[in-house]
Amino acid sequence: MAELQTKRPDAMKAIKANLQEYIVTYVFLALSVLFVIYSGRPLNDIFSQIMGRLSRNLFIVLALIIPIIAGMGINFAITIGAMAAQVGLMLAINFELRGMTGLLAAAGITLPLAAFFGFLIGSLLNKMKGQETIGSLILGYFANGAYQLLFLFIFGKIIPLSDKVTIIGATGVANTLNLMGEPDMYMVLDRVWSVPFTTALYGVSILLVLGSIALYLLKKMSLKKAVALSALAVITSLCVMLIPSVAQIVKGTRVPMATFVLVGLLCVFNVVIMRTRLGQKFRAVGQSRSVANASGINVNRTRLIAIMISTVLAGWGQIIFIQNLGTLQTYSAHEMVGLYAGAAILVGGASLNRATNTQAVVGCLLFHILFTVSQDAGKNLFGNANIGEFFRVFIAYGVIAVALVMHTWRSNQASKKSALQT
Amino acid sequence: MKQIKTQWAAAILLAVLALSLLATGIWGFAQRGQEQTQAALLKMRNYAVLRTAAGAIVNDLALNAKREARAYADANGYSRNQRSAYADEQEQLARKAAEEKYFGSTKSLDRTDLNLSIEALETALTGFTRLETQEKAAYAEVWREEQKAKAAKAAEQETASAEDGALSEDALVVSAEEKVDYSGFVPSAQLAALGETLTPAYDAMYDVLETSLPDLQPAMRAQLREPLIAVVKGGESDFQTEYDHYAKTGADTIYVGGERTRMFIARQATNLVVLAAGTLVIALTVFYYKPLKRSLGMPRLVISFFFLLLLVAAALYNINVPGMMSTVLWRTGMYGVLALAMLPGIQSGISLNMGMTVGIIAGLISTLVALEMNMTGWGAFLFSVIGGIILALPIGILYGKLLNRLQGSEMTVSTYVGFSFVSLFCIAWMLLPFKNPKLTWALGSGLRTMHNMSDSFGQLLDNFLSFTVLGVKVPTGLLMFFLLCCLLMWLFSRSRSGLAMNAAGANHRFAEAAGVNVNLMRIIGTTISTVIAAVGIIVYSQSFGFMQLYNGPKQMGFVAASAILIGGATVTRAKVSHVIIGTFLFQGVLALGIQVANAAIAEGGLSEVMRILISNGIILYALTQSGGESRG
Repeated sequence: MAELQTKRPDAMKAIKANLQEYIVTYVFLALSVLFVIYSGRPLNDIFSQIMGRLSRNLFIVLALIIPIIAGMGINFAITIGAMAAQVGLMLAINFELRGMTGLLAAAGITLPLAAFFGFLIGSLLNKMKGQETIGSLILGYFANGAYQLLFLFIFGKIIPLSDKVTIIGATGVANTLNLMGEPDMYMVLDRVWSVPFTTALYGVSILLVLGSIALYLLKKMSLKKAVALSALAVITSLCVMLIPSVAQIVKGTRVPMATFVLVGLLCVFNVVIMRTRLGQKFRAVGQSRSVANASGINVNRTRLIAIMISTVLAGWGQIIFIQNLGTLQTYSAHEMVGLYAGAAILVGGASLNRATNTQAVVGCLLFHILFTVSQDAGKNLFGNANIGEFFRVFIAYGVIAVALVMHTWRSNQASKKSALQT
Repeated sequence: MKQIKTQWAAAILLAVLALSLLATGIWGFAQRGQEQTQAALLKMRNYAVLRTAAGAIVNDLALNAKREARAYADANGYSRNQRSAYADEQEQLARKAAEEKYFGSTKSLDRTDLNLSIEALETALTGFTRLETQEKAAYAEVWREEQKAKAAKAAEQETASAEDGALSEDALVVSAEEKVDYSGFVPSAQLAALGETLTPAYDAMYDVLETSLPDLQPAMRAQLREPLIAVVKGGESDFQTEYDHYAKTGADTIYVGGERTRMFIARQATNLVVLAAGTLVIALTVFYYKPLKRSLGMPRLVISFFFLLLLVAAALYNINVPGMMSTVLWRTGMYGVLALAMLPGIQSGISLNMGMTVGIIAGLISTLVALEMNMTGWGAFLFSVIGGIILALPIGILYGKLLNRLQGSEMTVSTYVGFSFVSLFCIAWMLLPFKNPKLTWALGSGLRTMHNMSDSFGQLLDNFLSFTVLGVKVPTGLLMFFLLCCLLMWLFSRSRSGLAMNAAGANHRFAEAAGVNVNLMRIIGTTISTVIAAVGIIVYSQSFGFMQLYNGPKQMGFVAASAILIGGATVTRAKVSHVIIGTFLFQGVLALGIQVANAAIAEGGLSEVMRILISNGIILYALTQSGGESRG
């Protein structure tokens, strides 16, 4: 009895801390539920749409994690990685590469290009430490200008291109590049291995159970976590298997396994790299630049590497995104990448100096649920579909603004406290 | 030391180049008056006439060849592609042969009777051309107005979209500068009658032409009438225009050797002088690089330099300079007050107040109320301004209080707070209960994206006491209002609280030690910034002639920030002069850039790209200069 009494305030405290920490996520969850109800759309339809959105957006969101850990805030300059990817895709279509070859070629071109841009971004951000978030945002805008210049006035004029990507009589690269038909890159990655959702769920569940048992036996995972994971997997599978209404929701949805395998690999990469020396450096630099510097870490170089990795990953993420979409809006496809990815990861409860894979995945899921249904909900709630559209843009900016305000507020309070203590 | 030497050498070389260009240009001007040159010009005119006539024969022959080739191809059973390729090839060959034959042979042709008959036609044409020029100018004006109205209408119809809305005033400005389409031009009865009286002179000339070019067909007399009259033209014009007019027919090929060089220099005399001026500017910049860089700072130096180069380019492309200066003045006044809104923010230490959009929204709301009540003229303007100030005050105070809790990353937070506010109001514009049918969509509810201000208080300040001097339209009221705001701001910064505010911004620890309430000063600075932004958008809208809602204000903070930074401000220090210089330079570069880019490559889009690059480039530069560590 006495034990319980001492435990209860602790639990209350933990819940309160959790609430404070993840207030944005909970509010978002509530909003999503509300919007799903008011959208009046069949859950089945929403579910399959969200699956598609997750498959094409998760990779880019996960690309944001490393710079956050390295203390560089939300890297809005991932738009530049997306631009590199679009150059790669455009060249692949230009040289009449088809299918998987074309996609791989585009990814190959993206790698050095995005790495180089990442180097430039990192060098610039090293000159504005503490202002990286706004710096990378404006850098993204600036790069958009350079991109327009390149695609409108240099490609096709100074650098000759074939008529696969240009329009005779118009200037520069065509407004829309089609990945369907001849280039045959539409969903080429998604088509590699696509299974019904139930199959995918059972497969993943079995893997999860086996994996957590193995990790527990190898003493890499605590019993509590292993049991929780296995239980989650089993319960979800059973829900789908036994409850007809749940089965109805997921019916007909197919899962592009190859894409999700890539996303999974990126998650593993994000975890594994943190266990290497480089990852330790990221963490050290993120916690305190001066301490890291004192312990002999080359701070600028570490930050540079973090941004380079993020930019390349974002480029590949954009390739995944566009192959799923099937058309490349040459002049606008990259514009909202940074905003949506940044908002998504913040929705998941990440902050400007702390982010995990789980937060990225949860955030992406919640953000895109709201995205999917906001138009219909806007129509039903206010009688205007446009309002839903404006609302989702507002949500994206608002989430970032709130996260920034909360982060700065907290860190200012923390520094005030530490100043009082000393 | 070595660097200085190379710098000197480069400067001197450039200066020598500039002087030689200038000398050549002056020599070219002198040549224009010479009798020899005038004779050469007449020779060119006559050749232009002959060439135009011969051109008809060449065309005729080429078409014949094509027809024959087609018949040949059909007889031999060529495929479709082969047939057209063969026909094109034969046409090209025939054209080339005919050009060589006729254009070459007519060069040496020098017949007094032909020269005299052309002379006679030119004299007869004088009155006709004068009237035609007048009528065409009138037509062009009407056409331009129509285009403007069309663009405005299209802008009004533009639907609201959640994606980024770019500024569309460039589109409006450019459409007014576009080349006039004369296809709808109908000559008046008087002009037509005058045209009829030309017939005898034309016939006389054509008769002589026929004897010189025996291959002219009878049908060509009527067919060639219009082009030949256009070539001879008549009327008074300067050397350069006349030369270009004849050169359009390809008649400049008549000159060979020394004569060719001389005529070329005479033609390019103006351009040479302009180029000389440009080179001199470069030479001076190289020579005084160090002191200039020190006193202006790198970005201002680069932009000023760019501005001067654009002026040179504008002169080279024959762009109407007074019209351009009018645009620059107009845009300076239009954006000036908005740029001024950045000043108190920087002075009070919140760095670039990208969240000035909250003030802009306040100004938009008060203007909408004025429009809703169908107010017009000065009453509407004053109502909007006062209403905007009253609305912006509490918003600014709250916003300042928020920023006080976020010291160190005000710029990041204010950017996103501004963005969220704009997107929140995108929803509000759809829902606010405005009822005036002039403001709302015809179908459904919500406010329209663009609002034409011409029937309320559009261009009210611009036209107040406005006058035209040397072709430059000076928007006196607009500039006076801008300068008045600047003066008030300057007076404030001299006052007690202004000085305290400056101190708080410059070094908040020191100011605190000196007994200044830093937080209060920051709130005052933010509030003033917000209020000025509210007034700024009203001035902007009336000057632009349209009020933009939805995503229109989103990038305004960036435009204002770029302007004050170009003027020489940093994110921690700024003066009133930075606002004035910066707005003039930034808007000047944009206005010139649009026109030069249009003249140079005749494609849209480049100016927009330039705006993005300059605007964001300068903000990035300022951020890198703000020092590695965050302040505070």
